[in-house]
Amino acid sequence: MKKFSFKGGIHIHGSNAKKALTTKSQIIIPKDPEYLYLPLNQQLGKPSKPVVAIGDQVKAGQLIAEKDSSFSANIHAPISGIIEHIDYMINEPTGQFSKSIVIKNDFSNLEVDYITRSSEEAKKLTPKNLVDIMEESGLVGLGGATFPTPVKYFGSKKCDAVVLNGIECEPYNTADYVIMKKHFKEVIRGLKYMMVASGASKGYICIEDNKMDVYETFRQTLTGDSDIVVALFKEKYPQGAEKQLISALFNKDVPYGGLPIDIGVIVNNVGTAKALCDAVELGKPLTHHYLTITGNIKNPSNYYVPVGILFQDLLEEDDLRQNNVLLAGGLMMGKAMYTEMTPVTKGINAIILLENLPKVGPEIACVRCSSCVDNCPAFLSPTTLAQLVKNNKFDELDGYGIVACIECGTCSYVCPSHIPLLDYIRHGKLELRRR
Amino acid sequence: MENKMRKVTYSPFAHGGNSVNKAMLDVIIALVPVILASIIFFRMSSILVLLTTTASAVTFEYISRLILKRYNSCQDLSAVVTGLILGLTLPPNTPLLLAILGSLISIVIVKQLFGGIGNNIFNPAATGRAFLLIAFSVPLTKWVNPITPTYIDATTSATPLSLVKTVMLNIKGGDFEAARTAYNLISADAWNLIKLLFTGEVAGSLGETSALAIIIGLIYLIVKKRIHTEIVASYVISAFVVAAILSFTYDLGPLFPLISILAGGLLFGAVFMATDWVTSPMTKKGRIIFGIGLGILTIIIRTFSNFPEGVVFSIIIMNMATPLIDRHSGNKIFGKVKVKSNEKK
Repeated sequence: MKKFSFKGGIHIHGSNAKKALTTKSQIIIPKDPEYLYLPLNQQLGKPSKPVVAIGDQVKAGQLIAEKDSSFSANIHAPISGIIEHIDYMINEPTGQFSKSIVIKNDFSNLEVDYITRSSEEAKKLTPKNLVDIMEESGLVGLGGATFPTPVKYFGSKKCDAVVLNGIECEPYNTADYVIMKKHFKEVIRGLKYMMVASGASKGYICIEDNKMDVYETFRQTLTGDSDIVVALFKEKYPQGAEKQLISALFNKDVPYGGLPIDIGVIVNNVGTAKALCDAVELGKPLTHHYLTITGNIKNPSNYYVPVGILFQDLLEEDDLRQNNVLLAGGLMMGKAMYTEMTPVTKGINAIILLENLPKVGPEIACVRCSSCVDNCPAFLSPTTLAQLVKNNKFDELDGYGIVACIECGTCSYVCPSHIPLLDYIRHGKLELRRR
Repeated sequence: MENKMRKVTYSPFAHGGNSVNKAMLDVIIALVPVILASIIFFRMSSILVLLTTTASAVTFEYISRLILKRYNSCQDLSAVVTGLILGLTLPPNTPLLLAILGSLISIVIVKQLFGGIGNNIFNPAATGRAFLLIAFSVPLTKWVNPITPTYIDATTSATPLSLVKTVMLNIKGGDFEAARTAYNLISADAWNLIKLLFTGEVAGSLGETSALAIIIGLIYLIVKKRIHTEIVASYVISAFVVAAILSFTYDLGPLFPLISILAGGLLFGAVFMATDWVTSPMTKKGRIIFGIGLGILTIIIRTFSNFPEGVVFSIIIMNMATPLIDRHSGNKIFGKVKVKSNEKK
């Protein structure tokens, strides 16, 4: 069996054991909390614009904030309730201070009338219809980047293939695995809608070889379907990065500073495909998604949560007390939160509690061991970039390819001198953007 | 409810656990077979020289860090590695004062004055060894036979390398007939010589004689992923090829290239000195260029210079070329059509 893989990358110590914490557990649906906090900049691009006012009664599924430009996304109320606040008030997992809408639950469980479509009606949808549905339902990339999904589809460039990313290479996360296990039919239908929307003739579902059971399920379901290929990948971090995924699958690189569509490929997360299927067939906007809650806690598990629920409402008090570190996203690419009073946004697919940050020695001089160079999936020289940043030579960074950095953290992970290479590189990127 | 602030930092929130310290420990473990072989073959003189270089290297490291007001870097074990490697490149019976002087040059001048581990331009041990060879060539070219059943006492002897050197000097002098005659002297029993070179029962520097011990160390380093094998491979292969060209041109017989590689410090230098992280290039392409340069230079220096050995000099020369190689052998950046070397102003 052919297994695809990319050049560079690492095996993260104990990755499968960390995944095993939550792969077998049941899916928990938490009871609806009293308040939901919906930050308006949940997506990449411009923050959304509120269309409700304080005191308004909203139903579950109702539009509460609309996209402000084409590079933005709609936000819907996950529960019915009353708008209590619209203000700059809460820290949002990106770490930015932003406007949020606060909904007070009235526990009446009112829902808007969803426009459902039978499979016959769904088949008749044109690409334009489908992109409109993506826009209306506030679809963003659920892999973590929250790139507004419709933006990928209304470009003028020709698309040959839609790639579904089910790799999930972060060591703790299993939310995508759960989606593929439980909702493989919706994922496949979502992929078909995406292929219609983009005009692509080929679809790919990418799965890493530590999830053989879902790979087999997809393969059996799709026998006889020549349009969709189920591709198996070697387990390696960061296989799930979209550019690395494309070069492994098609042996073709996305141009420097470009997007996958530049070589005729659209990559979407499996969760996005499932959300699109729900939007098309059930008319449901993106208000709930799967989330892995794991780490050093009593009951690691996968949850199906409404967007806007506070971490605090999902975590046990004992677990919160015992652990000092709260991560949103993932072990390698997530963000550390300073408080559990943080809402879940569309892009968060895992919450990890750890007792402490990893103990690494003090930073010493680079010994030029070239581990970072040999393992960098973007083929950069992280230590050279870090050196340039340290010496304030920001102008030279572009010449050394800093834009190709995907911030996977491989360099910091392998460095024997314990240099926080990625921190230096981020600083350099920020400085370049500011100029 | 108490609102405690949690610990915050940037991703990644994991570390592979690798450290300079562990890497150096692995190099020391890889040196153990070589050290054992040198103790078996040269007994007391090996123990004395190695102890002296190692102890003095660590002492100089400690003192210079103290004077330079930097953190104490002795626990990263790099000074131990430098001391051991320097000791293993010295001949048996090296005057101990010279061994200490070698450590002083290696640690203080070559390493600490450039900023300590990671910042040195030259391989400390190789440079210390080269300094001693140039400044004190007489005591440093006195060789003794190893203590084995074949040679009962430690007599002064010619090394296999000096025999090879005689051949090469004759080639340089243009006297090919003499070269062939000299080579016939070695090759009379070439297979036996190769066998001795492999086990290490020949005269030579402390750690250089036993190819077997060096290969055991090399395998350990490969298993532990501490070594850039492309440097070792390209070094040995290119030296072999250059020696084969010489052999072919001057009709020296098929075994000459093999003897060239096994005799002298080429293998030891390839495994333990050329692969030094700090002073070798950072990309695969660069390391292959580096190794090829080493192989060519080593044979050229052996053939055309008056020094008996070319390994340390070729390493020093290629160390100088490392920044240049690094600059022009960068990996092709993801998605870029061509690597831009950084010319823009």
